[in-house]
Amino acid sequence: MTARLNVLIVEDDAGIRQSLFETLTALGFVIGEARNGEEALSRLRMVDYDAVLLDINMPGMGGIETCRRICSSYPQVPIIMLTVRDEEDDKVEALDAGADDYVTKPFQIRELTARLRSAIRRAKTSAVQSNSPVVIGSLMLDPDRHRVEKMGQEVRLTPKEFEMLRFLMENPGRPVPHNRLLTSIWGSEYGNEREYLRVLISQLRKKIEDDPARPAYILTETHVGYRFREA
Amino acid sequence: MTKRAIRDVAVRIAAGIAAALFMTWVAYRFHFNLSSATSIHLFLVTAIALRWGFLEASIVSLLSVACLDYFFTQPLFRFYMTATHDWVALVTFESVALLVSRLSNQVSRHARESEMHRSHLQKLYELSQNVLLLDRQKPVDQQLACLIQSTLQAKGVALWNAYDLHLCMSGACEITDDEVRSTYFTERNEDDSITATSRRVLRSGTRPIGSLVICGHSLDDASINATASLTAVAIERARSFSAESSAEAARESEQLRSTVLDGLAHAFKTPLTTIRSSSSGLLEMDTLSGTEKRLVALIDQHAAHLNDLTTRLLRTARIENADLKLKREQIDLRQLIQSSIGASAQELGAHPVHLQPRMQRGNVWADRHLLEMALFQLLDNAAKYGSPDSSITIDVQEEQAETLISIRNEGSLIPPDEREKIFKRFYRSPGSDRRASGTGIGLSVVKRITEAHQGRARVDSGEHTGTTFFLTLPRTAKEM
Repeated sequence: MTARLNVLIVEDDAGIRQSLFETLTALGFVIGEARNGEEALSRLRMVDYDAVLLDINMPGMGGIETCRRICSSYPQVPIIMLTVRDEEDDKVEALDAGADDYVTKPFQIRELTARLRSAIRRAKTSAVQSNSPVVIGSLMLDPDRHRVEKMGQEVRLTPKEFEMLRFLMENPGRPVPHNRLLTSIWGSEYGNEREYLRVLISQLRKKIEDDPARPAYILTETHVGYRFREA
Repeated sequence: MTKRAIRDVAVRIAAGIAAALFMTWVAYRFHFNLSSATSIHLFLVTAIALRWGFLEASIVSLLSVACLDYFFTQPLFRFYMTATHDWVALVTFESVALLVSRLSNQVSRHARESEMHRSHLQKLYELSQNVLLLDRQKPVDQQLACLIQSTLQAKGVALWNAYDLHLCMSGACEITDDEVRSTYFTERNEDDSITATSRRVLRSGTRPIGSLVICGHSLDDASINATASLTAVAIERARSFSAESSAEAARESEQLRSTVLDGLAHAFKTPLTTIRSSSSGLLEMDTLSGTEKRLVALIDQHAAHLNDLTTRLLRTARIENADLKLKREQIDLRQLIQSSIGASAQELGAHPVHLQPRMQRGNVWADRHLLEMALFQLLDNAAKYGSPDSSITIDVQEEQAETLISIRNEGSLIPPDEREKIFKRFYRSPGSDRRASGTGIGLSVVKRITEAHQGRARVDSGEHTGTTFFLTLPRTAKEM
């Protein structure tokens, strides 16, 4: 990493804020701090950040609303939500509000930095890619030729399977909630038919995974959706 | 008829005779003719019939006929009549006297009866009203006994309650405790008119729940039966009230406990996040010496463990919450079990897990998250309490109405009297804390989850067969 990444931490708890500030600074990030959503928005007006680390539960505007406002004003800045375990609805809501990813409290710094870096990488490269082939691990998906290869061997997919794989592979490392997958593949009138997804995902796993019971590419985000592994 | 009653009748007859003789003397003295004399005698007989009764009136009427014959018909001063019209007059007089006596006596008896009936009803009404006002904070039986005695103005009341085998007395009843109880055991209602004592079996529906003895009362059979019914209702009502309030108290304390657990678990998360991010941050910076690194790794590892415990506690608190809402979906059990085994890899350690070769596929309509929790808990238990490195076997069987999931491990014998208790919250089998650490929450969660799905959780355990936990989920919960 050449340039130091500039990250804004929005968190109401002073202890967590300080700990994140110290550790992330030591790990080479440049950290800005905000105690709530209002403060975060005013800091974003003054400084260009590479990413925002946003607590979901905060007094005042609250994490979700802050996320929504940052997304509409600064769509290029990826947001990583700090969520609590067992609050899956919150996670889905955060992703729907425009968050790029989430990390569940309490987290390990290694996981947090990995998510931060990949979110920033995605944000910087997403503008470039269009219909060019995507390669992740031993998988290659070519949208133009409508072709998928695993270690050079063609994998035959149904149109729905192809669409699903393309959607996931174009968002590597990013959690995609069930409803977003459903609407993007089946259409806007779908959103609750998770059974369709489950069947399609299990078919897809049988075709692309080495061990479908222990998937390495299409990972399950419990109660939230799916995440395709990163390149 | 008692002696006193006989004496009363005799006195009344004597008074009636005296009055009849006096009337005769007055009529004779003032030279009344037969018809006038007959009229005043008829008046006397009617009055006696109304006031006293038929017997008195009939005797007086016969005397009147004799007097009228002797003093007012030809020939005078002889019990004989020559004129036919005198015969007719006296026979008519006697007939009318008897008829009027009979009728007026009936009227007065009915009036007396309805008056008595009214007063009984009044007492019963009063009793039923007061039964509603009993103080539920105090023992109801004693209050009931006193209330019945004072309202019915009885000499004494004894009440035996078969629920708590408690005998209550009020007033003076010459009856032994044993006699009161025997009414309940023999299930016989009895009335003793000499001592005016009634014994009644108290019933709730057809089931006997106690006995009631009322001594020295003036009520009829029907009123005593009604009193017994009222008493039975009052006892049942008090019982259901106390059962309801204790259930309510239990619910409230459970709710409170859940809320406190939830709050605590959430409160723990924030400092845990600080600890975890600091410890893992220190490790990530890679500037520590060997010892420092090991110590920080220990902090990190245990912060993670503490977090797991907190998360589990939080989940438990939610599950124990009264309004647990299920998010049901169609679940392929084989898949769910496989993913649960994957998720519990750390807990399972060296225990190999086998799926029964003849295991059925098993589709259930259930809450995925909760079912995963239950399976995780059972796998965790099997690994913790099973013999070291022994295998764990999972099976799914579809029966007509239910789907049966079983998880078997070797060893960890659970004695029969423990098999219900281990599903209770915070219960730990004696000695189990020496075998493995635990909170005594896990199995209560399993039970709560299966019951929320209208299923059952149970355990079988034997020296040679090992220990098997069964989860039964109904297949009819929702047909797709």
